[in-house]
Amino acid sequence: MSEPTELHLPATSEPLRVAIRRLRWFREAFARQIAELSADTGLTFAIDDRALARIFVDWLREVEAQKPANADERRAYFDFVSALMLRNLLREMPLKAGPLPADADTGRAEFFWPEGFACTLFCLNVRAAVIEQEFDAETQPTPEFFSLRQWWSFRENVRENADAAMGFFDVFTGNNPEWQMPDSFRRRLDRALSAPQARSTLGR
Amino acid sequence: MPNRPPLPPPPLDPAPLKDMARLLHFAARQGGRSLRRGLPPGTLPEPAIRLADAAFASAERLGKEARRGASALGRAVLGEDAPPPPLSHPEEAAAAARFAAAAHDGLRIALAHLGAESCLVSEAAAQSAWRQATQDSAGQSDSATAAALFAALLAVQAVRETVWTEGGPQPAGAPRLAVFATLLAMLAEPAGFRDLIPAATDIALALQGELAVAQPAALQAMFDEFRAHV
Repeated sequence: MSEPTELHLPATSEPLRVAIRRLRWFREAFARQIAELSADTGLTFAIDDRALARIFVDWLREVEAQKPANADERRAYFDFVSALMLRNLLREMPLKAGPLPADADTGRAEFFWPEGFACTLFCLNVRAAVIEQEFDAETQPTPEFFSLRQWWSFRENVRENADAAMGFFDVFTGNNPEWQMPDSFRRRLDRALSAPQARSTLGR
Repeated sequence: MPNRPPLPPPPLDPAPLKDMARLLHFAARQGGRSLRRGLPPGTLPEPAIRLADAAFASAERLGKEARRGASALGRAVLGEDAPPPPLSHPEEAAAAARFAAAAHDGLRIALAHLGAESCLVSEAAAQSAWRQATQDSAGQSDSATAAALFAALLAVQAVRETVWTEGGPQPAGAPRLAVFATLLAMLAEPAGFRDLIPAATDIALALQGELAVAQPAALQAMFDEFRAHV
């Protein structure tokens, strides 16, 4: 599989963590990701803007409801909200891919599951940009991101339960996945605190 | 005894004139459409076709002139694309007129985003809604004023007519969605609120179920919840 497509985010004078919580910026960033992926792969997508707005509103409410008061938890929180966004995108799927290009290699994730790949890439890229801006840290996807077996399992599990997307996102970002209650930030933190091994990987 | 200087003329309220011009434009366009639908080409003999064409042309000309008149009047009185007054200071000069002109534009943009082919919005009704909603609003927050305006704009039926694109979606409670979107955009960024209306409208659509039953306190909370996220 090729390297993840880079995302050139829309210009903003605000911190990215603020901009991403504005529907206009969020939509523009998503549309750019899709355009850049299309240019790189020949894939085509139709975006349902209204579905995207619903996803955004639901996500925003969950994000605000679980926002930690403790500044030390911010890094883990950015990982959590990125995974939550992916769960919501895959649950309501605002994309519909067109036919695969003639030379598409379905052994590559982007052609194996175009919509899932596009949404995952968007969340990985926005997370990377926010973490770079907030913590001056670089992030890289793990080798699992490049494994078609992982993607096959990812797609099958998400079809049964969209919550599973959050665990797979953790796998792709090198975090310790929470499979039982992935949409609870508090549970994720409690687990990290009770398991030193996990704590060392949380928020990597 | 010296002559007294003449009293200054009363300030011009352009809203009813603009409403009348827009009503003429709307009626002319709708009338022309109805004529075309009712008289499909090829079904009339030659003299009747010429008569119908002349009627269409007259209706369209009348409508365009009325529209131009309303626009010119609006520009002369308030300036082009004037922002609404701050909802936290309803006592500002000409606030009712400024709000009504901005609400007119906002509601039209929101309804178009929802799929309306054309619509008729009353600026005079929006002005009356402003007066109702702000008469006892001293000291209240702008989101509380927005919640009061939401109820008042619906009560005065500021959205008078909406024509939906044939075969397109007709969202339930469209005036409610358009009013919420317009006020949310005004709260988010008064100076550039027109550009925010499409996103605000999609937020309103996402909240459609809640908006259908929301009481003033809940509406105010929704305005506060989403004003920074358009």
